Amino acid sequence: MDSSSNQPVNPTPTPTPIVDEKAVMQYLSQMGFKQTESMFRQEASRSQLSNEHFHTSDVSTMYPSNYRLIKPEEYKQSYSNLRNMIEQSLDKFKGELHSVLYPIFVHEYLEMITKDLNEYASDFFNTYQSDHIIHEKELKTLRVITHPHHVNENELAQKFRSKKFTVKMSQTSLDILLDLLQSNSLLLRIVNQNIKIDKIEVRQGGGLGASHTDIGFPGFDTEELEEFNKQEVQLGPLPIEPSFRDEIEKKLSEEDRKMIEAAESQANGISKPFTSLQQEFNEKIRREQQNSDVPDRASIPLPSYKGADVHSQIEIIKDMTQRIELGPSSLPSICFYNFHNTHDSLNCISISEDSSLIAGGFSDSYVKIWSLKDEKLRGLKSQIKPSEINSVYDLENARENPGSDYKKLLGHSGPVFGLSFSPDNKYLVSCSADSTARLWSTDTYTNLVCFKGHNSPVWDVEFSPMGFYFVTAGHDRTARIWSCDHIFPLRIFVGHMSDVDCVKFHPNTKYIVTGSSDKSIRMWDIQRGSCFRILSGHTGSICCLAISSDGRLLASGGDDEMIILWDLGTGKLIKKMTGHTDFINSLAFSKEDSLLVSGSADNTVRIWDVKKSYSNDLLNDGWGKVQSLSISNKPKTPTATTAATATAITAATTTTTATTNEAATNVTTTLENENANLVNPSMSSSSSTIKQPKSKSSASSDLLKTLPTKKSPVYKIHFNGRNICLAAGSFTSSEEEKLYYEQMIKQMNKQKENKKQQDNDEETEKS
Amino acid sequence: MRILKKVSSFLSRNMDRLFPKETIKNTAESIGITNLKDNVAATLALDVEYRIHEIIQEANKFMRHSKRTKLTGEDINNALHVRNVDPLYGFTLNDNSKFQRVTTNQHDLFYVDDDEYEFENLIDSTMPKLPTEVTFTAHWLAVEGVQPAIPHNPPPLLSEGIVTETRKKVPTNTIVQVPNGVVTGTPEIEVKPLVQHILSKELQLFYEKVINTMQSEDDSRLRVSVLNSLEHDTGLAQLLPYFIRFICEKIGQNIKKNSIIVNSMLNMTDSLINNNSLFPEPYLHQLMPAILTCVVRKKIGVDFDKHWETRELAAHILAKICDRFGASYNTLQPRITRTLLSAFTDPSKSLSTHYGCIVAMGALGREVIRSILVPNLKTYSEILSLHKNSPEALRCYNAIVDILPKLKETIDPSVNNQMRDEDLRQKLVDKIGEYFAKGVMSQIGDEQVIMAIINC
Repeated sequence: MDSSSNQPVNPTPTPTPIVDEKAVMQYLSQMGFKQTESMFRQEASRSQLSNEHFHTSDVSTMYPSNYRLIKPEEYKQSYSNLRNMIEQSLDKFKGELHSVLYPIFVHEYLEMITKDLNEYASDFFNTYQSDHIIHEKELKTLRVITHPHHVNENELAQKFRSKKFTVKMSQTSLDILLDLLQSNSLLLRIVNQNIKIDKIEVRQGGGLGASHTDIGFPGFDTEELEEFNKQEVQLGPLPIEPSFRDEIEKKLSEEDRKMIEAAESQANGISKPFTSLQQEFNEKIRREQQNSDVPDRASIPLPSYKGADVHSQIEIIKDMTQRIELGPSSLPSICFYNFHNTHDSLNCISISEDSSLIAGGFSDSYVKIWSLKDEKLRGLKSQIKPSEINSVYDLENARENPGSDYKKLLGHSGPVFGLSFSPDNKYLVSCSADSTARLWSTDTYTNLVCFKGHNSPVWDVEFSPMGFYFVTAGHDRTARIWSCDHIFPLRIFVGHMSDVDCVKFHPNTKYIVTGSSDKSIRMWDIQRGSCFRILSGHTGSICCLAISSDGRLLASGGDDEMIILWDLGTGKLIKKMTGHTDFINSLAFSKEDSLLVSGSADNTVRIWDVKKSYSNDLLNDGWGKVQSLSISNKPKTPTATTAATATAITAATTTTTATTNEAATNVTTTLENENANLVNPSMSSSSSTIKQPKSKSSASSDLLKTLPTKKSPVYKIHFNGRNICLAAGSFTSSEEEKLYYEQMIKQMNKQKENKKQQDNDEETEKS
Repeated sequence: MRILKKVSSFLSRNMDRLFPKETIKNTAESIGITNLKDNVAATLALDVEYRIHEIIQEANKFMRHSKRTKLTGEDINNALHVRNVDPLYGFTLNDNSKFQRVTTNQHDLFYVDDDEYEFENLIDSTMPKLPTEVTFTAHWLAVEGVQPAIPHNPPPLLSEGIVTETRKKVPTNTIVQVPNGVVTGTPEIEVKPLVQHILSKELQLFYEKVINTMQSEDDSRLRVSVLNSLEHDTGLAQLLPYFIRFICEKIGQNIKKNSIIVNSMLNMTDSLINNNSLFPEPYLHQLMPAILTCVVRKKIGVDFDKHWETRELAAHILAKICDRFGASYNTLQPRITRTLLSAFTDPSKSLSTHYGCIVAMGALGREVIRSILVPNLKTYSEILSLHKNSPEALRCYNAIVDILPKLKETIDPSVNNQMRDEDLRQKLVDKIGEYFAKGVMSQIGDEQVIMAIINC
């Protein structure tokens, strides 16, 4: 037994023609050697796996019922083993490996049905269907197949059986897959028979994040992802509450009257251009009401408005009247806040909505808040009695005097990775590697709540645009919605295949958008907790996201140094913007969504034109666009393309021969197929475009301006209500410069002391 | 067994693995397992590599979320923590671990070069000082899309974030008023500007640092970065008059005794002239005498040999100034050439002065050589013959012969020489005298150059 089972792994197996096996089998059955026969069948089936070209012309013989004795549980077991192993593999290869799961899932299911293992089949289906959410339509069809007859009749099932499902994989991923499959003959057989694996060259960043459309059946429309992204979403702004609106209007008309009076008393009859706040507000409401796809207000429970909310709305309207219109011809002013002496310990920066406070999260587990208004921060005293506070003056008295330059918030027990101010600036929420999020008050500068729920580091946190809710994203591959008044998460969003690195609330609070290390972006409904959009196009982890204030556009920046602009409504990629030469740390749209500003670890702030599109048509899928990009960059002659094709094919064939020599591994890698020829050059050409961002010349044409900083990686970009851009970064210095800098500080301090000394001396003399 | 075999075949296919099985065997031996089988080691090597990849992947995430581009020991420890593994102690504090390489048995081994400390010394030593507080400063990175040329922003030429030079940061933007604009550190200068000048404390400190560095005779690294800063920083306009004054002062003080300081002053001038954001025209009248002095003074410094290079450097700067400001300041070059000519033709001046003049004329370009140097060579050869065979004379002679080929471009190469060699030589002797003609004929020998000299 042992020696025979070793046969398939023998590097030089003795070629046993299938005809001979059949003859032997016939002979055995005729003679009634049942046990020998079954043993022989079993062994023959294994040796068949090792054959490079396994042909079965008749589909119905594909799963003979006595093919091999497979226990019904084995299907589920083998699938879940493979799934677990893929889940645990490195992020770099996960995407590629994951693509093989779907055909395996379908084939196992069909095989179970053919074998009349209905119960097991449906159990299996129900357990794992959530893995393949983008194939939802096909799943629905498969779901109804419950009888062996159906398998033969159903179009989809027949398609799976008659054609080979194409999967693309790099050499390393293929090696890993083979390794995983070694111990599992069932899966190995399915992969051999039904899946075609095209090898691709390893690209920068690796993985197959760029496109799902290359995977599937050749020549058949596999637009499940597109289909999936057609689900209806309501991207319009959240309608304003009528009573809230009335109250704001009342206040605004008062303000207007005051301003007119003031203007009249000052200007002595000279009429100045004057914008009525009330008009501005009505204009805004009217614009919002034009949207047809507004979400139902009741779908997002929010606490009722407070007086402070009215006040803050009025401030927003006031800012709107003084807003500078920005566009490609009028670029923004950018104020840069540069942090010193951080020694690489500053992890994140957040600026409050009204630009009065700035907070930094440090790897030494604390959060620091500074004022941007050059004021002292004055927290409430610790021994305050609410009963004694009756007026504003009492509250003022209860504050510390004289206050301090900054406040240090202690509480976390790990590096702080994310910070977000609430829209009313009353709270700050922080998240940390200690797998908690903490809510801090900016009145008392103390910790209010510690939210425990994640079970590994929390990477990002964001307050909802309406306050009250916030969302966290973490290393445990989930994003979670919390409300300030519950210590447990309200929703958990599961689906990403790797860490959720960044998270952003949609302006209407109905959705959140998450970016992950699995190179994809997902949009989720916070009420239902289900995924509505999957956007893939990045070739690296997603580092940051920004959504335009009208809620239609999404910008994402990745560690592939690329910014991608998406249309959330259609789920389509609008354009790729290249030019940065390092990770992109932060993105922000200007208030009227005409410009995008990005901050990167390459020490630059860049301004991009949102509206300008490529001259090439944008209706193609992701790959088409990349190709058109490469063509527009350097026009290729036809000969060059064919040469590229030739090299791609030779490269691929050499790898094929390499595997053929390895008789132990026998996954069919077919390249004679025309389709492969068509796809491979596109792969190689796109790989060249992806590498191009490294060179300076490849900056795309919609880059309006590059603003370098002095050795300061940019951490955060923020637009205030008046369209002034605030950027923040941390100065990194070499050892030599640090020394120099310290010397300078020392000298300065010495001079200060000297001066003080002199002053003191003078004073003493006087006295 | 079967799986192992496959794994080893898998391994043999990928020979360039990160960890060869020998590494595993070595490690195993070090903990007392001597007879580790090959296939076991190979499997372990695969697994070790996988785990290492896994840790690096996790650590990478920590690095990215800390907005850094350099992986640190801290990141690795965080990654280990996430994977529920004990952290590695002792690798976190060192900012830049420098790996040393040793080669043993043709294998490269890398290790971190750690100093050994006595524990007692460590305990007894004073506490290290507290790190400075994290602070922030604000400045305009862009005003309506245009980057203002302030010291906080990198100079416009070095865009694209590839700022590689070591330059300094002027940290805060608090502006203080200096009474009378007197710059501390140079008490001998009495400055009484009519307009009150506001000079920030930081600029003052910067100024002080610069002048201290330039006056010190060591620390060349810092000096290079200072010069670099003077050449590229955009925000130095306010300091320019002080720098110019300082340069003139120092050259005046040190020209007799210390050629090193004179040289560094000249370097500083060079940097300032090269800085495109500075406009030194108004101060040229202060600067020129000092530089001309460096060219033509009889004696520079105490060293016998060093002054030659000082003169060459000064001559170079002189030419650069003429080149850059000649157009806007049209009396500049005539004045300089006049000075040079009078010194050159004066037999009572020392040969070192003559040498300076020659080099300066050479640097100023062929027009000056053509119109001033060549016509005077005949008379000069007589002067030189007085000092025949002294090393200085030889130097002057060589300098002249060296710069004459610059005239080559004045002549049209297509015009063919019709003269015989003898005629040519005779004409050359007539033009520049026997002494130089000999040198030109033997050392240059190019007909075109000779033609050019004759045609002057």
